[in-house]
Amino acid sequence: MTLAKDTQTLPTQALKKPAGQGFKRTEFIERAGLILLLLLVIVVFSGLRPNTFATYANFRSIATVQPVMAVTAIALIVPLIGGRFDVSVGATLGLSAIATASAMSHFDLPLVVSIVIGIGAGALIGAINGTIVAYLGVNSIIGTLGIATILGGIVTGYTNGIPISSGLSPVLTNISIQSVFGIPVLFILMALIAAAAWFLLTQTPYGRNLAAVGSNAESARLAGIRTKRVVMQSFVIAGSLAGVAGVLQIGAQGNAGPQLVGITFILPALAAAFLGATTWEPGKFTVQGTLIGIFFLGTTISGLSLVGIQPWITDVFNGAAVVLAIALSAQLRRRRTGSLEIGS
Amino acid sequence: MQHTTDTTGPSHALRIRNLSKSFGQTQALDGVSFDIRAGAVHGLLGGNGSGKSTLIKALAGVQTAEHGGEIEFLGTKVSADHMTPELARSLGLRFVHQNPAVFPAMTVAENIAIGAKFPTTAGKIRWKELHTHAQELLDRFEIAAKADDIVGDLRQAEQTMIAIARALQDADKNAVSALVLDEPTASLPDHEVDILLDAVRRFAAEGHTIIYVSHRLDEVIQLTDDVTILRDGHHVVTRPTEGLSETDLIELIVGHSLEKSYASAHAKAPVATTQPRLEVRNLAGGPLQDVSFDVAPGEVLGIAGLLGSGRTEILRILFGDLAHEGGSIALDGQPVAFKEVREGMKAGVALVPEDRNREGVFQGLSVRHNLSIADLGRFARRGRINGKAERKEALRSVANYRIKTADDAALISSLSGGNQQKVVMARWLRRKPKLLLLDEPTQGVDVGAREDLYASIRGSLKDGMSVIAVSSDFDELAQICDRVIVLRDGRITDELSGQDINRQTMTHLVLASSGKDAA
Repeated sequence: MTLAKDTQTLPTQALKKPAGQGFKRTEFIERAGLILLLLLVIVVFSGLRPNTFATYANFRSIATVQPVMAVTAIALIVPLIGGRFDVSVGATLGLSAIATASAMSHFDLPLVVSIVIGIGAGALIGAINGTIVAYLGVNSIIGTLGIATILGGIVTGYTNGIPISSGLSPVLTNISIQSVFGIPVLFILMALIAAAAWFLLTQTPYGRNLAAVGSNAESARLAGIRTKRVVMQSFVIAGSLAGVAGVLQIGAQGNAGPQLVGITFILPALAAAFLGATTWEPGKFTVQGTLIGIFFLGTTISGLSLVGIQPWITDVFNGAAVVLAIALSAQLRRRRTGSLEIGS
Repeated sequence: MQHTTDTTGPSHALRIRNLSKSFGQTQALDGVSFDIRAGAVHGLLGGNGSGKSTLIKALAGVQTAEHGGEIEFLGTKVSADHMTPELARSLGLRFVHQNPAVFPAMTVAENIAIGAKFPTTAGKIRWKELHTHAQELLDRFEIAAKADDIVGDLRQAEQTMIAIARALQDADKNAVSALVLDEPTASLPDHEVDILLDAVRRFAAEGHTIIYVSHRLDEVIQLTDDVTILRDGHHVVTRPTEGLSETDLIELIVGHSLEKSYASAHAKAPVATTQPRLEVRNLAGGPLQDVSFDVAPGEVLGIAGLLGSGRTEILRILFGDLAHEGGSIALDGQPVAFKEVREGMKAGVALVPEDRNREGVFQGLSVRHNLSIADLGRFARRGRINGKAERKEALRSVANYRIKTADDAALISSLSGGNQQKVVMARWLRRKPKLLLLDEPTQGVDVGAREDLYASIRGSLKDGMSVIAVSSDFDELAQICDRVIVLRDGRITDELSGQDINRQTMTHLVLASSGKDAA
């Protein structure tokens, strides 16, 4: 039997074949495109504003401001890998921030307990989103939009629109001015969270199952994956990460504001997630790509404002980035799977 | 009235001349010529691979036949290689396929309008007119439905009839058209078949010519005026149905008469030398009734049956993807009743599903990840996937199962269909299942890849794996099976082994109303 022969002469040279051999130039440009674009942006603005843009202070500012948005964007990509949208991460972030601040300020709870409450609130909201989407079969955009609106109402009702800024632990509120070897602590925390998310999404069976569900839910079911549970869990993870972002937001801003809960707040995160899917591993949502996307957007907007552009340009830029990034990643997906579906 | 038709005696609606079509080495149609009388119900029969699907596609212009063939409809001659869907439609040819494309969430009127045009004034649909038109059609074809009924709420027979009414709606009442019905009753419950057959008779009574494709010979005898039989791409006969019995039809389809050398299902008791791998007793569920069989370790059992016979349901029940309503299943002597796929997998059952694209492959993922998705637990160490071990195993599978790919990290979508199927097969064989269930394992797979797939199955059989294979390709069953059970309308009607496992016998038994009467 030919088969038996093959088993014995298992080709060792195949095993030695190096991974990802022979990058083609176009492939390299595609994979590294956004990084090159980020470098270009830095070079251009450094040339235009050498005294304000190309300074340690400016880069430190970017590295302090962006981590919250970066964690929010990482929260977004978890359900996105499973083929689902969570547009409530902004609202969850806002509610978690208020819950954490309120626990400290109104209930005099210690910082650690308050943080657990904030992240727990995010996880609970994620569980509600996940139940609605996975077990009640509601379209994820509509379902989470509804939840986001409810959360917005609750936050406004609880705070009367006034930020909670007194009685907060200084350990948390001072975090934005702390740094280790010149690197902002917020940036370091973001890196740790990103590493954890990368591990979960690429190194564990859960991450693999989630990608399988996102690729083809029916095939996943017939491969023994509990698809509903996997989708449910992706929303719990997104909610928890949004809760973490909410806690970090208090640190970055020094208070917990009720104005964060809108959709426009997460637009840069959404843009970054989809920009990220056009780079690194084109066609896939990755933590690395998402971070590159966040810092590309953040740096560009920082540069634009230093050049003296009107603030409304920022909204136009973020909105355009979302649409362009999504259109681009849809094209990449078509190349991977051979068909372009009508947007859902 | 139509031109040119009423001059000659028995007028022919459709003349097919010298129609040929080949796919690579396979000659699907070889110089087929026959005529179809106007206003008749004309049965088109043949086993799997006889060429009838290709013939219909050639008529519809979906697949163009080779140069030299000719299709003449009501006096208009068209060269077969110039046929297009638009031309077929303008000539008056209409097609209703196996699973008619109705929109279950929409009303009858809307479904009918989608086939033609919504009547509009300045962009607004004239609903009243649409409803009147739809109701007229329903009345004309005596369909028991109202224009504003939701199609999904209707019985399947009525849904099919609405698809037929939709196909015929723009045909002028006086103009003659031809309607091709491709196995319209295959997925209908038994009690709804008569409703549809009555409707077909009414369409014929209106003067439409009907070409009726079906595997149900009793229907064909009841319904048709003439029959044409194809075999291996050749035209066998075109003649009046009158005087033909089911046995005659089967002999024409199969090619020769059959001695009853095969053993009937109930006569032959399973040889109880070893503990059977699988014992199925009185299984019921979906169309299945009282299905009992055994599979021995290392045995390949084939299931031959038509669409709707329950063949896929057997596999789904055994895998844990479908609940059974009655009977028992024992795996290695242990009674089992899987509630979900995972339980079946854990017990050592694997399923290679019928629809590779929809149910098997993850197009956006790499070959490696497609291979390991069903046994990730094997590579996990303290929650982390051991990437090195996974890659090594992937390369081993690529080599063992002869998967042609540039790299195991390449996207599976970059592979040919046959190689994608090898990946799906390897995914399950790697788990070393006790029982491998195959549903149309080589559909759309080229000959070379097919042999590789068979070789990989044979390799695992030596280790004692059992296989149950469902295939519409009876030559395939003949090649790989030790034993074949014949499934008809949810029941096992026959069992074949040895020399009796051949395409002719299986075609014969699958088509016969019951194995005994046919011979």
